[in-house]
Amino acid sequence: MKQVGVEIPKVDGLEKVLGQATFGADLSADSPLQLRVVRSTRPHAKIVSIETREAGKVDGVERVFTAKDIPGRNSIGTITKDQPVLAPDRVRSIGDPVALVAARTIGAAEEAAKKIAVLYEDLPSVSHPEEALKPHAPLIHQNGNLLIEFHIIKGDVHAGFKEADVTVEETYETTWVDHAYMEPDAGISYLDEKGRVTVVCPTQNVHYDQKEVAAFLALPLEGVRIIQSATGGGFGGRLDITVQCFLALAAFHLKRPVRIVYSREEVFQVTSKRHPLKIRYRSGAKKDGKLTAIEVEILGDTGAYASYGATVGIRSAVHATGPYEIPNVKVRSRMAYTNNPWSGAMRGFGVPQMAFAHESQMELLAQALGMDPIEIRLKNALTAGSETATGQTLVASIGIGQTLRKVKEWEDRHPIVKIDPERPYMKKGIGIGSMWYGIGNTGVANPSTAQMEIDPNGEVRLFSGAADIGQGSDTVFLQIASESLGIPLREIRLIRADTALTTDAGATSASRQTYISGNAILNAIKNIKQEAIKEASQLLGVDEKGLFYEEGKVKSRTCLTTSLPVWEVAKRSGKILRGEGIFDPETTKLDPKTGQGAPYATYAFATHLAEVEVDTETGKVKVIRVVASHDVGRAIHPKNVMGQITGGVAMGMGFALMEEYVPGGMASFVNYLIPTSKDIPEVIPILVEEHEPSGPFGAKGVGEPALIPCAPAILNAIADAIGERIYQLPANLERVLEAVRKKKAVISDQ
Amino acid sequence: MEITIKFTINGKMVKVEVPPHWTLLRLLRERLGLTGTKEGCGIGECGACTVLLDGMPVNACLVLAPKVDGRSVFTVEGLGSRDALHPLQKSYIEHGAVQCGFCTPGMLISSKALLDKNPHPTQDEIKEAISGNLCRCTGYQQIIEAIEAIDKDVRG
Amino acid sequence: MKWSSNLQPQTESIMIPSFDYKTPKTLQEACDLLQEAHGKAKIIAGGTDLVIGLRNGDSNPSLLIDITSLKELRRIEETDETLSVGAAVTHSEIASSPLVRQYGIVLSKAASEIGSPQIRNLGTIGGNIVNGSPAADTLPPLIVLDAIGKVISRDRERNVPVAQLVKGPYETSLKPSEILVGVSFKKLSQDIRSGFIRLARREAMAIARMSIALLLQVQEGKIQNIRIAPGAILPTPQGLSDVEEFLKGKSPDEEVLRIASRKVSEAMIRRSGIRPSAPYKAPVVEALFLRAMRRALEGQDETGRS
Repeated sequence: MKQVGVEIPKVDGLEKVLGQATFGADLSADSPLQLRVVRSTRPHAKIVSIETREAGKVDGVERVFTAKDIPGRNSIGTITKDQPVLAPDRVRSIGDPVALVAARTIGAAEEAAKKIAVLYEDLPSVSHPEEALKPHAPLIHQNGNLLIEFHIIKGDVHAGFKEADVTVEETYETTWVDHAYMEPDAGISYLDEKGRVTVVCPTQNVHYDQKEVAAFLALPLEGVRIIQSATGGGFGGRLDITVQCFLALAAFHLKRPVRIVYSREEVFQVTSKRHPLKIRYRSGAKKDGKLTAIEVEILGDTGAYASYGATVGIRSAVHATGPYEIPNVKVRSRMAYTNNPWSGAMRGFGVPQMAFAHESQMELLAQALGMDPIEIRLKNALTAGSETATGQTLVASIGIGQTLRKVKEWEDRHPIVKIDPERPYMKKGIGIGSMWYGIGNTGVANPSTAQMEIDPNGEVRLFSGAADIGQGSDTVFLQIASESLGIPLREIRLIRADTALTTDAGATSASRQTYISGNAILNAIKNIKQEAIKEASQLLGVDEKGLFYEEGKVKSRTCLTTSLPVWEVAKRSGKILRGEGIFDPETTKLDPKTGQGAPYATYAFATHLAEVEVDTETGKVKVIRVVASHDVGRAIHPKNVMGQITGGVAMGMGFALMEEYVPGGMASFVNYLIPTSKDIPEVIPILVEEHEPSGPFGAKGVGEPALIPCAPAILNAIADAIGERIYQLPANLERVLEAVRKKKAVISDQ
Repeated sequence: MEITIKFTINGKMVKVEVPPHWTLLRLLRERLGLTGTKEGCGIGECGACTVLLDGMPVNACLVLAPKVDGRSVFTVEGLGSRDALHPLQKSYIEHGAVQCGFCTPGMLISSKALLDKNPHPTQDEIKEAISGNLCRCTGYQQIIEAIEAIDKDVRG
Repeated sequence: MKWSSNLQPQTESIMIPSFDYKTPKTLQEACDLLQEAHGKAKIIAGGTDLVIGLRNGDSNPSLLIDITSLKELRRIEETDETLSVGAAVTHSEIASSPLVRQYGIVLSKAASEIGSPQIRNLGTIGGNIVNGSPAADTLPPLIVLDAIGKVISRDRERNVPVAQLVKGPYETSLKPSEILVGVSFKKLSQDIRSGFIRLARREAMAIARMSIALLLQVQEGKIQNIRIAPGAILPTPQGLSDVEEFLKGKSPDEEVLRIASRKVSEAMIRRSGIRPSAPYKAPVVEALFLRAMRRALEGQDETGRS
């Protein structure tokens, strides 16, 4: 039964094209109360008082909640739990939640929210990470403004730079980027038939939400149920708590259904952002292009709260080398608190920012050495036996070289003409961007679990707690189950992302679901097959060893005619056949001092080639084409993989050229621009399938890798077109024009 | 407070009482239960609420309810049914044009408006037609392919 | 299940406050309603700006008067000498009108690049004018066309040059009782060339970063007549008369164009002051002006894209 590697319709496609998929704001409840959040207007202030009396008098208002109504732990966060759900005594950034109104109508909730008077006493604030780390900077959290400092030390960088024939040192900067998932956060909460506080909303991780909400309400885990609604995108933005705690708090106290729907403006103002990173990067190479050393200093702005700051700090450092083997490495990565919007997880966890830096460096080295950009990358590309900066020796599925060669082949066949005589102000250029990306969490356990069931009436059920947020994991899981069980896909029912019905599959993040949950499912199937053989052995009176499982049947090794369909095994045994699966990738912890270890079990690789046209009189960049070569291990659903790539390119293009969230201002889709259909380049995906021995059917991941190399390729292409490099993202009209002018000034000086 | 308006919704005449300050989006979702039309921004900048008004794509979040009196409104719910999908719906599924699906209803409506007027659009015409519909997942390519494929099917 | 989709109320994220709504059948009725509302009413046409304002609480009228049913406001009409466009004509209608294309292509192009197809199907020329955004796309073309707005109230009718309709950013010179019913301009003769260039950060649904509209008449190698109006860089819509004066009577060689372009950026700085954005805008507006001029001189101004 061939299900893997073939095009099958996404299992959620039908509901979605009919307009019947139930997103957060589409959920219905029995006369729900409407919730509105009152938020801080100050970047840093003590709360002197919150006056709610007037608000409580508004007709239709049921209740106003403040921090003192929270029965449990009023702080959330993935690792460091430092973010209050409702600020108890202090706000640390504009938009911090201060009070919550529940009312019979939105109008009443809104009116009441306006009547809540919060008296603040402003505190000095810090809006820059460098300032935040100075000795007498205002403290944002008790333990200081340094969230994390992480080092990677390998070899001897001094010796490495001594050995180098050229060194290049530059500083790169990136800014806040919004996930801009299309569905604004929304959801409902109610007490279910068992009295559980139930929250239904878009999310990337129901089991994490459950733990946070339970601790927040001081309830046992079983007292909280989280169900993922249809989720209109995530990209990391729904790894953190968004609306869950507000909903749960109101439902818990009021014991009736409640609803919240964020406006787009609210989503922009209060959800996490991509970490702005400042990266000082020094690289050394020999005449033949071989890298001898890098020294990298990373400073990130985690904003007012930790969220995924530590994760991003560590992952950025681990990926600082890019997909290259470098004998001497020194990286220091720090994350500082500021009173800026909080940064969190966003597609790539810091690696897109790092790729911008390391790929710019590779280009500068190639220039300094007079080498072809692909040649210098191939010269240093990781390969079997290579040792990474963390001292991990790679053994298999290392497709970086292959992605580079594929791009090179394409480039050789499609030479570009750089100048258009009709429009002399238009300059074309091409650029390369490469990347590597460790699949799964960094050097920590991140298991997934799954169950498979076949019941006596023949129903086949797959249980997974993983959240499909549009990327297609539900379909991929069913493909894996179908192929491995030998049962048609449509005959398998998937029970998904509901904490009452499924077990923890971990977050839909770090491009991990296909690889990790896919493997957990395979393990569940391995066990259910064993179970089927065991039952069949009793039914047939044959020793287990004489039986095997094939194509949905238990068969005898000796008697060709003995063959029992697995559903019949269940039926005749009168039992539910069950298989439990768990998978946790093999990793080791990183050494806290040197960052040495094997943080990931496998890595994905990719190279993009971008072709751009720069209007040197306006600074406008048009990305004409992106050739996107990806080593995904194995494409279980090629169309999904292509979709991840084209989507990643568009997001990468936005990151490169136009996306910039400005704190404090009123953001909406008027001033936060993401690419439209008229902006996107032609994308030519090239799949490189370097079988990953530990992956399900050889698969790795592609979600984040799709985005990461795009912006570096575009920035390198711009530099190629205009002869001057841009070191700060986004490369908007103003920055591109400034670079053009800088180039002109250099020329006229000569 | 409420006014009475009569209009056709997906080919069926309806008469509803509605406060004049309601948008068509709210009317569709709250009064008529047609939740296929989505609010993505509320200010006409994302296209998730695209519906046809007298055959032309508009942002339902910017149309006040009184404006639809005597006119025809067409939403994703009118496009096709589970058993009889519209060719666009089928093509979207086949070409991987649906990821998270939140932009899909509006995108389908803009696609339909294009094909109704221009059955053989060029790729640039397709891009123009869906340029008012933001999608954050797909990068649009598979959506464009899905629309192009209809043209090819029709041409045979 | 309790949370499955059914016909129970769904909600929008932000509610628009209530008001009355009237759809008058005649212009007279509209004027009467407006007069009687004593400044508490607002005219609504396409609503693409007004509805956002209502949602954001920028305005809070007690009555909206919908003028889109008034036939005379929805027409594009020509007389021997002029073309008039009703205030409630949509951007889509303007962009696809053969009359506008023939007699005022600079306006067609501007209309065709506004927002998105959805916005162009709703938004109207009248609304674009009276919203008074410095980045309003139809204003530069209307300025170079010397378009005249027709404004009426219950007792009075007056004609106002479009340039005088907008007093400042988001501020018009209309009295609370007045309605803009349309604009008209002299039909452009065949020998008048036009240019329109718009620059934005994105290819669709983006506010103009800047634009240039111009009309040009060249006879025997010399510029006979010229009108230039930039968009999005001045607080109010206006032509660049000093640059126009400079160019009149000159032959448009490279040197003259270069000096003229310098004068364009100087005029911008003189009228809007030196803003932080000036180092970007000054050279770019010069370049766009030169590009628009060259295209117009070569008679190829079809794309409108920067």
